[in-house]
Amino acid sequence: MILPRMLSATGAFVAAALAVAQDQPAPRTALDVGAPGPKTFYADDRVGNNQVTFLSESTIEDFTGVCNRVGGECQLDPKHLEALQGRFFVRVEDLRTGIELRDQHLRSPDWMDAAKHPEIVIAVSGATDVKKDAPDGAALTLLGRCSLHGVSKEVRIPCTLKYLPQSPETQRRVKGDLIRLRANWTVKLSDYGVTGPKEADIIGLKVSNDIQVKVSIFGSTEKPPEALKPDTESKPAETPRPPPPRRP
Amino acid sequence: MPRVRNHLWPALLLGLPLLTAALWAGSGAERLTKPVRYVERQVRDELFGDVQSETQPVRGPVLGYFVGLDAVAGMTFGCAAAAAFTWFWQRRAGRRTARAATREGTDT
Repeated sequence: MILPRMLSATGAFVAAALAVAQDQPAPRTALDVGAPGPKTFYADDRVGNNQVTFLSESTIEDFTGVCNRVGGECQLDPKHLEALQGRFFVRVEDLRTGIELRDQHLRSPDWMDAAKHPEIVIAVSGATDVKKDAPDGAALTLLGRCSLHGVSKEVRIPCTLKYLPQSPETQRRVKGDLIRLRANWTVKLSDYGVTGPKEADIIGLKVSNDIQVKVSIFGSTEKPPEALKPDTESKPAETPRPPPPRRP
Repeated sequence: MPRVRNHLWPALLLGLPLLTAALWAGSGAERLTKPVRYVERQVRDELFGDVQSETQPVRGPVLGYFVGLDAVAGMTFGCAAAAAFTWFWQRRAGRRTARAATREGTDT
């Protein structure tokens, strides 16, 4: 007799606890936008100018480089920004510095080696330090890995996020919800094995080891018709190893 | 006319580096000659309701180029070399003339 009563009491307690949990207010970092639930956002030039800018300040020369083609997507829940996940990339061949010869050097094996490592990838696995600074915006730190020149390293990227749920104003540009991510951080070339031509000592003299990177990514929940796709074709084909020499 | 012709070459050798330096200063005093410079501009984004900084390319003002210090240095070295060559050539020609005059003087 006692056991069924205990079981029913436990069940009632669990049910009450679940009900309380469901009624709990959203975390303080949740955005006040009427678009709950995780959604996939695609980098979309129709929303705004997706752009990566990099600045090198060194002894002899300063230069700014730009890439206006950014691809990728992310999953984002405005009520739970910490769960942000995604992958964004640019192609090395799309980087421009204003001098064609320098662009060629940038793509060469001495620097970024575009033939072997055609993409620079940021894979976001989460977010931390979320601080809501507006009903539809927050400052946060992206956690993830940056892959550059064949080297992948963990990174923490401070960024700001703005979320616009679908409205008549947003629909004038693109259907669906829109986001904008802006980030600034520094990439150490030596961390990724980018050292320039050997024995030339160009790093520090003509190219800074610390490259300041600035990123603006605009995304929409509607997949763009011509999204930049990850480069899978330009990876070098594996050269077959020559057979070992036959011994007489 | 001969006086003008005599002064034209030195003026050219002096004027070209000065002109290049003036173009260098006028086109933004860049270190390297380049066709495009990236400039950060503030663009108002009506949809997101704030100012967005965008980096945009700007073409150079001198025949589509920004004149750099490399062009100034190249022009200066080129003109200095031309001036040196002219000086040597004129000195040699002058000596040859003087030698011929001396020879003519001794002959008579």
